[in-house]
Amino acid sequence: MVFSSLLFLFRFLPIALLIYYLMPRKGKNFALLVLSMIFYAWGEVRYLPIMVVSILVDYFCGQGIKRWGQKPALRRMFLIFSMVLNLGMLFFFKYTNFFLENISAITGLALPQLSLTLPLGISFYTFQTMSYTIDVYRGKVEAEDNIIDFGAFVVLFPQLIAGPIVKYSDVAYELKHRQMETGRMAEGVRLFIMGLASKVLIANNVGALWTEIEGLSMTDISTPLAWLGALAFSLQIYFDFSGYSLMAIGLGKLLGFDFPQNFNYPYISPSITDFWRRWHMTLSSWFREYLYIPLGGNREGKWKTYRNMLIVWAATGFWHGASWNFVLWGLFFFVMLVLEKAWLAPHMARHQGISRVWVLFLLLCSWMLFAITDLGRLGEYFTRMFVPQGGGNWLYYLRNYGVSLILGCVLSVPVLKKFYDKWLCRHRWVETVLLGGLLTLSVAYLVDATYNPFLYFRF
Amino acid sequence: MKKKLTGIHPLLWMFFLFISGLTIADLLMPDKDFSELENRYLKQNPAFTMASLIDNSYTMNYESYVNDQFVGRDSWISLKSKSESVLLKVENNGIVYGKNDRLFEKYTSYDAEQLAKNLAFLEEFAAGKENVTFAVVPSGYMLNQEDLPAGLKLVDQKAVMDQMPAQVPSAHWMDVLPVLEAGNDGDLYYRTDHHWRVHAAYLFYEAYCREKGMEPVAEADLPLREIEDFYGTYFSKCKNTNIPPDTLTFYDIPVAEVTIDGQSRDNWYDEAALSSRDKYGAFLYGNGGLTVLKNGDGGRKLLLVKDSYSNALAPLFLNNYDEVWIVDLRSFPAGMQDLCATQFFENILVLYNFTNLCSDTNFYRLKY
Repeated sequence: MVFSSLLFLFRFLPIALLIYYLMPRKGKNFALLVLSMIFYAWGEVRYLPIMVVSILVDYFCGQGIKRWGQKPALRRMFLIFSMVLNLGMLFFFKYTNFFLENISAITGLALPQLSLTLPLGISFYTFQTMSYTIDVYRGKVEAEDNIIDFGAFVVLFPQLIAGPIVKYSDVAYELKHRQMETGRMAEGVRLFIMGLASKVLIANNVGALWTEIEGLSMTDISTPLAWLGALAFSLQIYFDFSGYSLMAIGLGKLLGFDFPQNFNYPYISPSITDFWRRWHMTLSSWFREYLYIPLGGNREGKWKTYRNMLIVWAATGFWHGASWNFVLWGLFFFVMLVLEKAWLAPHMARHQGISRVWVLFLLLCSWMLFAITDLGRLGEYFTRMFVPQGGGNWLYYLRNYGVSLILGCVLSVPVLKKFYDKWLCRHRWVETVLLGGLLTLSVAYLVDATYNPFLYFRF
Repeated sequence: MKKKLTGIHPLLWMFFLFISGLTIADLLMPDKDFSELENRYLKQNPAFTMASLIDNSYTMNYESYVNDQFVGRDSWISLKSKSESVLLKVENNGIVYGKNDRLFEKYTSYDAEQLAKNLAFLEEFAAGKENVTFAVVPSGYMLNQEDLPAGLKLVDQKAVMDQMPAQVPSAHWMDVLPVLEAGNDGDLYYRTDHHWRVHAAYLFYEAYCREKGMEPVAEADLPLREIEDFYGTYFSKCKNTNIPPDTLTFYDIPVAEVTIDGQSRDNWYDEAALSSRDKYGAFLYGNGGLTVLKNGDGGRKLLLVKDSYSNALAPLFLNNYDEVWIVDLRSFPAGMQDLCATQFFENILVLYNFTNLCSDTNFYRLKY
């Protein structure tokens, strides 16, 4: 189930909230566990056992580490068992076909492909549960004794499928002691509606332009159109992803949780280094905390630092998808980050304006690496972007999508935010009407997306 | 208590009332069977079984059911159409708003593979027959180029059609585009629908008769009938309420005997359907598999293999043939070979619209 669906908004959410609010404090986590399981299992019932196994294994590993805390070998064994299980599941479901395909290509063997659908949110919840076992191992958090509370953490439906990646330590306190305050709930509604509108009204709208351009034959893509496509996809992925995070954070607040922020206006970054402090913040901090720093971080000299960065960025790229272009995409950032670290950073700091334009240029290119999974097509697309190609059809697309693109650009920088924080938040009724309008419009777009006129029956 | 409640942010009230109100309204609303607007049967509440839950069909069907039956569905769709106009979009749901209130399908690519397959099936069918004529009706935008929004590049149907005669050498090729261009009054197609108007169909009929050395009936002698308030398929897709309705036109030619899929009818069109929303569906009662129109006993027969573009055209041929046999492959699974073997057709005309020709998956039925 996804948040941006009629099924979620007008079946699951009202019923879930009703049950959750009516439930006495002691039963709330149990209610959350059951509701989240239903949310997870909807559409892929067969994968429910995987989730149950995941919860049980990580729970018992945490308990094991706590119980046999004095024996380093046993502690380590429990940690490794949990890591192997989590990473093993992730690799099996997400990467098996990738490896089979590549081995086939190299060896010439015709290995069969597995027909697997990726279990919902597996990239996210495996990282979340790993953070728990590692933190218990490190003694950063106390192992959770109550399996219901632990299960509720793992499968908590708002952040289950697309982040933010909530570490156990982020919500450990709230799992036991959260308060239902109307102030936080109102903030939750605000964020949820903004997230929904980001996804449905902006991301889907500019995304339609990218889908169209992607579907054109290469010869029909002129240079201006290729750049228009890059802009459209950049806006789409930002509003899609940050919108989903906002919805998750908003739902968390409606349930009494404060999830960490995931996006902070990444497109105004004056450097790529800064961009990764503002984009998918919970993922970058996860890799930092559980991969980069354990590898030695930047404490062991220049070359080891670069080696560590290379590992982290190859892993980041690969985490985003089982395809070579994602690895390329990660390595692209590795190169840019090393360049900044080694040489560019002081120059960029002096020329903030130029730096921002430079960063946007790099990001547009990087998103094309991300969006086009076929390497041959990717090369052709870059040719279209950088070797001038004529053609007039970009005029039509610009005219059709111009307002949506401008809207997306304006909303991806914090110009309206100040107005919102200073004025709109103080005028509660105006804000309510505005957000109510956005919610109504979002529902209209959701309904329209299911509109399927079957015109002239059998014509 | 009262003070506490009024202290709650109005946002919370709004949100909870919105989702719970719509949910309750949606649950109370009786389910509909059929959508006039979308012209299809709507999903009904699926029966729950353990097996359907395990194979995911239950959850999928339930979601489709919720979507199809959502309260106020039509109004939400209109609201989205309006919002798109506010964003200054010149299209909605794949329909482009042209000049002079003319709508077009945004046809930016065609299925070359399917087209090649269909032409191969047709060639196989025509091989060894002397009397097969093949003609393709271009889409409306080919005749209303000046009404397209600036910079919009659609499939050049002429370039593709020019390749067709070579792929179907056994059939006699009739080039429709020049015929329509010669008589182009800028209004050969409906503004809100993908079909050609009956005047364009007449131009084709006239050219066909001349090719076959027959005398076409004069257009002025045909009894024209006009039906107001026609909203076509393009309108239904984009729901742009600023577009005025079309007028449906046809020649009310008397036909003595009409048989559709073995069932005898009073007339070749469905009078009742003319006052419904799906007005074009009146002609030939939609798309039957085998329709026979008969006006005389002379035994001169035409076989017309067609899509919906021919539905208002077909009776015109009764001025030159005694019987017109009409096959719509989409509803005619088998029997083509049998038909050709047992009936003697003076001519066989295969007439398709370009987009249908590229997307139809029933041409293999010509073999059976």
